[in-house]
Amino acid sequence: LKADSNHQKALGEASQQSEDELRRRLEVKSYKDPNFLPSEVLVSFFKLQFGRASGLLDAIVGKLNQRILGLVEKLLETRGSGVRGSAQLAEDATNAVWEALLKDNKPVGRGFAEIRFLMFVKRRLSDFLSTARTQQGDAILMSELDETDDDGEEVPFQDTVAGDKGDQPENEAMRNQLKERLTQTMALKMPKNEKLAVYFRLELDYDWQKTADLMGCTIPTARKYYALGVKRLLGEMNK
Amino acid sequence: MTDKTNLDVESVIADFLYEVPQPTARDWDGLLTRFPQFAADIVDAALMEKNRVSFEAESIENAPVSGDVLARTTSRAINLAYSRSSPQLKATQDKIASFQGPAIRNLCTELAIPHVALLSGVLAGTISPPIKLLRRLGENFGEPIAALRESFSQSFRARPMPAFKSENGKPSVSTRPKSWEEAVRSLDLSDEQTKSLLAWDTDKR
Repeated sequence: LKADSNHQKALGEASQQSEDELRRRLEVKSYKDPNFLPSEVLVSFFKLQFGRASGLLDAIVGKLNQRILGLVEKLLETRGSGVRGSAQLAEDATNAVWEALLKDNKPVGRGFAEIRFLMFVKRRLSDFLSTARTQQGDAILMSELDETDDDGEEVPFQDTVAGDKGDQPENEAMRNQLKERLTQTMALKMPKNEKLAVYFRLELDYDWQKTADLMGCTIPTARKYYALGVKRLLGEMNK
Repeated sequence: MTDKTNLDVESVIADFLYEVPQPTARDWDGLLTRFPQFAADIVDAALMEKNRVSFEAESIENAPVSGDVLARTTSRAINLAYSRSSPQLKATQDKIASFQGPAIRNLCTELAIPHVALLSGVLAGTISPPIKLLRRLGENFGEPIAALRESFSQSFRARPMPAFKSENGKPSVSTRPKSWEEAVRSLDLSDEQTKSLLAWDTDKR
């Protein structure tokens, strides 16, 4: 793997700062603040055991764990809130993510942990749930893992057969609003197929055939997921 | 999902982001065309990239995580962190340890440091290195600056304690590495050399 230049830059800058400054930066909560420390930088510090001698490593691991657990809880909630034992599940899944980080011995700046933190956690959570399902045959876990609700929700027939233009938002302003909403909420909150359909149609302007091909389904099914996705985005906008 | 599959898709996306640091929708479209089998992961990556700096961070930072679970998982993670050794940190430490005798003199010449004692002190962790020297060492060794700093810090803490033989006074052991300025001024260097070396602590490059 090649190095991610954005990550290298952020890591290089943070590496030159004093420990007091880094401790202050660990408290910054808004990613819009230029002093916010990206999770990928914290992962690199963890892999290098930066701050082990001084005790800074504890604060780094603590902050990273807070983000991993928060992300795991959010992802589990998205895949089925109110599931019995979900606190234990979140704890086990968080521990599994840490185990995966420990096993990653690739040089800092090159390797899967550095690509994007969210992607890394999502994939490890998916691996964890998949393994748990295999080992336990647990119906609850299966429902948590299930992202493709194959015809799980009823959609009016006309919504599945409308023409290419018929399922578009009424005007460009609404379309732009939806696109903006899409980037803010989609990756965490939207089921996979809805996300794909909406992204392909709204962001990339794909036609239905290409959308369906990439999703590996028929055009009516792709339309159904698109309708559900738009409905979800509109719901978010009206909150 | 196997590890191999994970690595494949992640390599594809990592290489793409390396080649195109700020991809547009058209760039993602091109990647999807080349790797339709990774469509779901590519769309996730595209959304993350669009929001750039850890878009998840704000909501995650403010997420109401379970207190007990947070305490338990944090404790476990810290234990894990201290129970392992970092291969890259070890590699950095080995590289530093290899610079002794004539090798350190050559390194001084490469880094334009006029006094061996300065560099020896930095490598042993007893002198705090200035930013400019850290950068040069990082480039010369091909190692991350964070790994160098941690290596120096661990060396300082692991240094042997000096024997106290005086019959008068109290023993004193420094708890911090000597500052760069203190170290430079303690050497019998010309005014020009001193001024030049002191500037290393503030030089941007």
